[in-house]
Amino acid sequence: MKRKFLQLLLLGMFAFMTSTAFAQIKVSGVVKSSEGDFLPGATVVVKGTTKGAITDSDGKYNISVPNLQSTLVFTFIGMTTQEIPLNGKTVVDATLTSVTVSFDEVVVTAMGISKAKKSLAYSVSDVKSEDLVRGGATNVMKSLDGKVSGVNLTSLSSDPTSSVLVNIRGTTAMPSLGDANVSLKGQPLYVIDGIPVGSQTFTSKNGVDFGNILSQLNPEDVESITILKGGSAGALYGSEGGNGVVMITTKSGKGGKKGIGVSFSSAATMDSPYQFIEQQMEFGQGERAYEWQYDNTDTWGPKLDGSYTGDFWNTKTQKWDNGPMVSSNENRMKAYLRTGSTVTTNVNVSGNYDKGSFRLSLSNMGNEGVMPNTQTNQKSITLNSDYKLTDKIKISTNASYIRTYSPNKANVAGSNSTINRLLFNFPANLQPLADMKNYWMTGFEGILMNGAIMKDNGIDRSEENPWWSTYEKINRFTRDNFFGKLQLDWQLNKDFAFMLRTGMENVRENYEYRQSFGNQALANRVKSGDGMFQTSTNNDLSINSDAILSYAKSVGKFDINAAGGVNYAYSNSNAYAISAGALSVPGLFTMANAFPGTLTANYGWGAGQSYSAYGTLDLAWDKQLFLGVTGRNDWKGNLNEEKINYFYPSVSAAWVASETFKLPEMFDLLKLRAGLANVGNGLTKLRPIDTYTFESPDWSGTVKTANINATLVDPNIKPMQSITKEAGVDVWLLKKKVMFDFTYFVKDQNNQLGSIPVVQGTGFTGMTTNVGDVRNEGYEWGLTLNPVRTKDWNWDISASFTHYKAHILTLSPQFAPNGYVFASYDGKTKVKIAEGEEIGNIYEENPILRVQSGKYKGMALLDGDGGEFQKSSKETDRAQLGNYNPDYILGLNTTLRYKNFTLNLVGSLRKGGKYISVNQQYMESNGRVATTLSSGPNNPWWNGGRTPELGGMAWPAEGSSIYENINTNNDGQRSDFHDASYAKGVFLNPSYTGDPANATDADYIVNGADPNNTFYQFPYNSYGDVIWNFTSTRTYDATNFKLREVSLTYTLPKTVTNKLKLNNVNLSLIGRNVFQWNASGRHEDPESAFSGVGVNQGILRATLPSVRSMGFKLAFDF
Amino acid sequence: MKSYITKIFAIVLLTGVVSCSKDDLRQYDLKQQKDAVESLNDPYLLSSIIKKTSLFYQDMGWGATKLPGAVQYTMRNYQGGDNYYSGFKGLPDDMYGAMNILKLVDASIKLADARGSKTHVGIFTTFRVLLFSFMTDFYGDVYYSEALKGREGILYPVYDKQSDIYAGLLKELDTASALISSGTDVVSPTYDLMFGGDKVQWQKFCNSLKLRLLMHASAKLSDAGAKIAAVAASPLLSDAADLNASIAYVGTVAGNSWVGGANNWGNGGEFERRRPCKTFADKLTALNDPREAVWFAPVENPWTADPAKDGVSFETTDANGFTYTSTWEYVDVTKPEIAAQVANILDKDKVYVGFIAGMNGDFKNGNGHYNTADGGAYGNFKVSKYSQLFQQNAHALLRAQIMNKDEVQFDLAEAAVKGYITGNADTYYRNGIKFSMQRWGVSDADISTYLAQASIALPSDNAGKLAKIAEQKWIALFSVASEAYLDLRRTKLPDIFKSGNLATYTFPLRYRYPGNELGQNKNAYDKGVATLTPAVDDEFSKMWLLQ
Repeated sequence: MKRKFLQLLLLGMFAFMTSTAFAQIKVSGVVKSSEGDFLPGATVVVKGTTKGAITDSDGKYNISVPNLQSTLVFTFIGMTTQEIPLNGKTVVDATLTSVTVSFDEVVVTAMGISKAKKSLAYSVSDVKSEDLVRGGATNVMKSLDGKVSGVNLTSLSSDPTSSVLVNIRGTTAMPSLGDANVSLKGQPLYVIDGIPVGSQTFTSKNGVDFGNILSQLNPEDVESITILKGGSAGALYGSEGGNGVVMITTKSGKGGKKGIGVSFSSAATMDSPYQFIEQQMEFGQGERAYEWQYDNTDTWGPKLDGSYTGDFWNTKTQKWDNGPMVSSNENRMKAYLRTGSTVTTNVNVSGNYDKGSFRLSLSNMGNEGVMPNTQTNQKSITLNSDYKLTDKIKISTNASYIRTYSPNKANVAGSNSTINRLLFNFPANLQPLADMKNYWMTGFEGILMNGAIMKDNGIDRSEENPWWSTYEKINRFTRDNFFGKLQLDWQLNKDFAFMLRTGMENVRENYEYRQSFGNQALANRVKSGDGMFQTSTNNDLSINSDAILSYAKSVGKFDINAAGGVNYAYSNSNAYAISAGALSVPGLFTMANAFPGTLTANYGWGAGQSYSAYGTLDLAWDKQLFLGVTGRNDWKGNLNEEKINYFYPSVSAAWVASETFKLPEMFDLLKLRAGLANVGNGLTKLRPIDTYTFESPDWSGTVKTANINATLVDPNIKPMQSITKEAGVDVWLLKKKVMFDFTYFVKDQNNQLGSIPVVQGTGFTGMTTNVGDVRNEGYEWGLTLNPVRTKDWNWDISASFTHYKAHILTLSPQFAPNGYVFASYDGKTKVKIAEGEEIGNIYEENPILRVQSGKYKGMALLDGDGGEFQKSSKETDRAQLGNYNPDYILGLNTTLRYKNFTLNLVGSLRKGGKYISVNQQYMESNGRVATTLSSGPNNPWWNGGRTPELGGMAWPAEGSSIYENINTNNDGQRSDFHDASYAKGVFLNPSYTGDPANATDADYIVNGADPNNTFYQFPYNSYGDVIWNFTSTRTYDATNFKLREVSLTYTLPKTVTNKLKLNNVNLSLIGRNVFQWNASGRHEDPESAFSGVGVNQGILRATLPSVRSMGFKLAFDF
Repeated sequence: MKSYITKIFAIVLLTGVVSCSKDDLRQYDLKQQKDAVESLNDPYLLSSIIKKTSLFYQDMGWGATKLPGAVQYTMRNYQGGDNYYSGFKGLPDDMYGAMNILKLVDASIKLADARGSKTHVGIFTTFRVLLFSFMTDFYGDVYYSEALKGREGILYPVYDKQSDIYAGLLKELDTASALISSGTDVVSPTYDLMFGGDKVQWQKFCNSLKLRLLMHASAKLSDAGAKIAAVAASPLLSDAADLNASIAYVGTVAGNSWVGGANNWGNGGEFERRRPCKTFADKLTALNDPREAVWFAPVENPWTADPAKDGVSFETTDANGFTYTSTWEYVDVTKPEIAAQVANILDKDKVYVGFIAGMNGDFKNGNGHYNTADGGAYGNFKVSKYSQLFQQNAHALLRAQIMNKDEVQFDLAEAAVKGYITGNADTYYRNGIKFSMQRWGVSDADISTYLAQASIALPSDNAGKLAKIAEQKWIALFSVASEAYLDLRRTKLPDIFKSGNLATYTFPLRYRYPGNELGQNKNAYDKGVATLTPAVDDEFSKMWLLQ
């Protein structure tokens, strides 16, 4: 309606103008889209004048021109502008094509070389600026999720500042005995504006996640991100690029309007946690339903209906009280976490002139975490500029400085976190968290903690006060990141160009941990102090310099592009850490205050360099056949004895069949492509060394003694090789209304390096050698649809699909003489290393022992002492719990535009994969969840309940069994309280003395079949036993769908913005992680089990709940 | 002008490239660091090897119960499988304990050799021989010539034949002895925990070790007599002034304390579980051996056949000042609980009483205990505990022992009886007893009294002489159970094999190979097993030394 009004207004204005003209020649016509739709509202202007008209609802226009030699300019939003000279005609029809229909799109490839997308012989994913910033994410990597195929992105949590793990086409790392978690080994190489900045490690200390280094990058500064997935695409980067390359191109001032331009954007979101795990609120502290244990964090105790009176620590009055026990009815996580906020502001000034351009960008991000008392602030400044010295020589510089500062970030991973405490150690009867806010004992501030539970003496804490942990365990972090480049481009002549580029990245991190007094028992402080103070600093510098000579020539139907270059890379790092394990005086955080004997200091440094030469040759014939060849040679190693060199070749070919054959009209493009690359995955020659460590303590005060640690390196060791093959097809249909690409890939990691155990007679325990080969196979596809493309409506849908599976192909017989080896994984789980084994499989360490034959076959075997589940210790009995890798990842991204409104939705579905919930393990064994109240469909392993109402059974009379051990087992029962329960299974008749392996049906007794011959237990033992020991009972489907981004944008019409002297005014409502669906039905985020930060993949323990961010964003230029 | 700017620009870029090169890489630091971690001073290596080897041997001699149990010094009243040789049934991996020290020894030899420290090379080689001799003596064929050569590409070292190992070890000792005497490098008196930097003592130890090995193989070497005569003529640990190959404990932390002290067996439970074996206690009592009072504590509630003594207490203070109170208990068969135990009451009216040899792991049965409730898991008030001496973290009499000079004397005594050497067997024999008693703080007067007894005198026949010498050697080797076991196995003397409950048990002759050998090094293992008689890897098969 508003728009209609504006059109009328404009029409009126033109009508007024035309009526005052002195010479009038009428010209008319119809404006149509290339699909044949009439375009109403298109603008028609006489070139060089202000005269114009707007088409009516049938696309018709009428305009007066000064003469018939004039030229008409037709424009329409979303369509290419067309200029048509009248050449004497008075009826001129125009057909406008959609601007997005471009066949000459270019993408940046390795070494910053731009290539036409059409000619590429390998699969790349590229994401443009507008898609990165639309959802208002503050983390560049998080904004890629759901938008690219072949890439698996996982976050530790949906907290806006958390780390992201990136795996391109999966990892091909082989688990080793010492390190079975392969997820961190497949991280890609990141390249910013042509400068490799290494793979992104995580900074985590004390269970605190400080985010990836690259997560600092301001999304508003990014022009595009190109992901080189296969070996052929990344081979020019040598071994560093073996896991794929993420290329980030930052924005420059070029291409904008001439002169100075300013753009501004600001986004603010409220971040609120949701999806809280439900806990039972009816039963309190203790191990039995009739016995109060006020110092126990287990909640198998009495019902909290007020009928029990017990002692409890009153955190408000700070003394031991006695009173009826009632439930706080408080979900602790919900009560503890707060609504956080994230506010981002960006301003940039760009200038574009004939001689050069610049872009200066400033940004500020402030995040108040959902964990109380946590905060992150990030500021960045970037200046990109280029200047043409002559027509042929151009100099460009990029410089960025990003500073991240967290006055405090909380521990969100691991057993020491507040989340861990609240989930597992906080019985429902403890007072509400609000009552615990005074976390110091009055009068003893800074010295004595007012614990959530105190010891009997009322002085020492038994269970930490979560507010004490919040305000007195401080993790302070700063990171300064400088990076930039200096580049010279010289067009030597028509065919040759020369480029010289040097770039650097310097990251400095500073960490401080302060823990106040309060945790250590008062009596022990004299002996061992209390509190803690740690500080550490990391300093990393990397420098890369390249010189590249390139050649481009067209000879007949041949196009030749060739480039050759050299690279010098240098890195230098140092790190130190000083730690006072305990302090002498409270509240004084200095190293001088370290408790005697607790001060430790560490310092380390590393330096590396490599020289490389590389070349690339692209041949194109008649725009239909493309051949690309690349080669790179690296010389690595510092010391002469370590020096080594490798050659990495790649070849790829593409055939645009649609150019060769006359295909039906609907085909825009049909391309077939294939590529092969061999990327050595690096190895400097290893010198086997003997190191001596002094034994502690010494033999005496005057005599030291030492141990020897010797390493053994296989003298026949071969370099690891990563061979990738890929083949694919691209189909573009109906003027790019349908675009589809498919790629199948095989990634072989051969001669994987690892350590294997050796015969002790060699004098060594392990040898570094080639352990075996891993193959990763998979496919990915991308589909883009544009079903509706009219004047008012435009609808884009894109989907990306990723699937891969990795297997161990061969294993060194030295490594696994028996054919397999189990490596420790996490808790009671193992990883099997064997030929044919799929990477990501997890095994239960000691599964439940079951009857092997007879009528009880398959039933759990209980022991004959307490009737508890028996565990198998045989390796061959280990059953696979599942594989933590998803079967596939499907990303969905859709944009619907109606006139000035744009709605964008991004979602991703991770299908398949299993995860192990350590949350469930602890909560069940601690009696914190409803499934522990009684047996039922959710816990089929036992029979019984906590109280008679919940299915608890009567205890048998004393002496009712003929078996002494069954009677002994019933010690401690209370005959008037029905809470007997038992494990389901069979046990061997206690009077059977033969070999258990030869037992027959008659030798077994079914537990529970005869009430008098049943091993009864309290639910605490009966059920807690199952969940504690057997991982299979807490393994869940990880399938989940997340609506990652939602945005609704209103673009102010030009007519209005022009008046305000503004451009591109966009106002958006944005949301991230708005919705999550878990196939398991559990209220925890399975993705947190796959981040690889803090814990091994597939293991979920005490992470933040899902966080939903909702807010708005405003952006405009002037 | 423009090209000028370009040139400057290019120079700036290149400077940037070059400036961050060699120096910043700290190539010198890196090389130095790598070389440095591969190096350690001779004194450090010397103290490390002496300490580790001594503790390794003392663990066999006392810390573990397998060998002290097998030679009937000690019986354990809790899970006492070692009382009847059960520990030999397993697959003991003590071999790897020796290999770990050998790794350090070999690296030390390399370093000392590179520095030209000949004496140190000689000393380290002596330890190398000692540890390899342990491996072959207890297991049979083991790796020797191909051992510790992973860096040379030997990933599956084969076992050498025991005869070849012995030949090699004896040769190495000759080399070592020569190196010690010819070397000019100073041995640090502080770091030489064993001989305080005295090279002569080291040479004597080296020669004494050769004598020990020759005695081990005397039945198998055709030229044993000549070789023993030769080594007996060389300087040995045989003078009154010579030291023993043992080290004193420091006693401040677990790692430098005697195993029985509070720093290691803190709660005392393990100390109380280990008691003297009746075979050993009875022998000492029969010979009026003054060492018995040094080693054992009087029984807390000794049985008496005299009703008048019932309930009478007496106090004992031993030579080291440790005091004990005992209260007699009358064997009152009118009490049913005592009547029920009468068959188990083996010793009455004795102050020092041991557990019966081959006692099954139940403290009630060992020797007449009946009061189970008071006894608890640790107690048996009718059997002696070890003296409080063995409960100290450090004491002048407690040393981590490899070889004592009394052992050398007994070896010479045996050699003299067998005619290998010409010396006087009786002199060596009495010297052996004297050295042993002196080691345990027995006064010269008591030693004279002991030696004057008729029961000590050597009989006239050679077999009798050998038995007597073996008996005294067995007593002297108390707390050096590894050598006591090898002697018992070799000489079958003293004949204690059927003592107590052991009549039906066969004395084990070797350790079975560690489990990893079967799994990881099967070819070598199979060859090693093939040379045993019979060719099975069990504890009763005979190795070359015993064939």
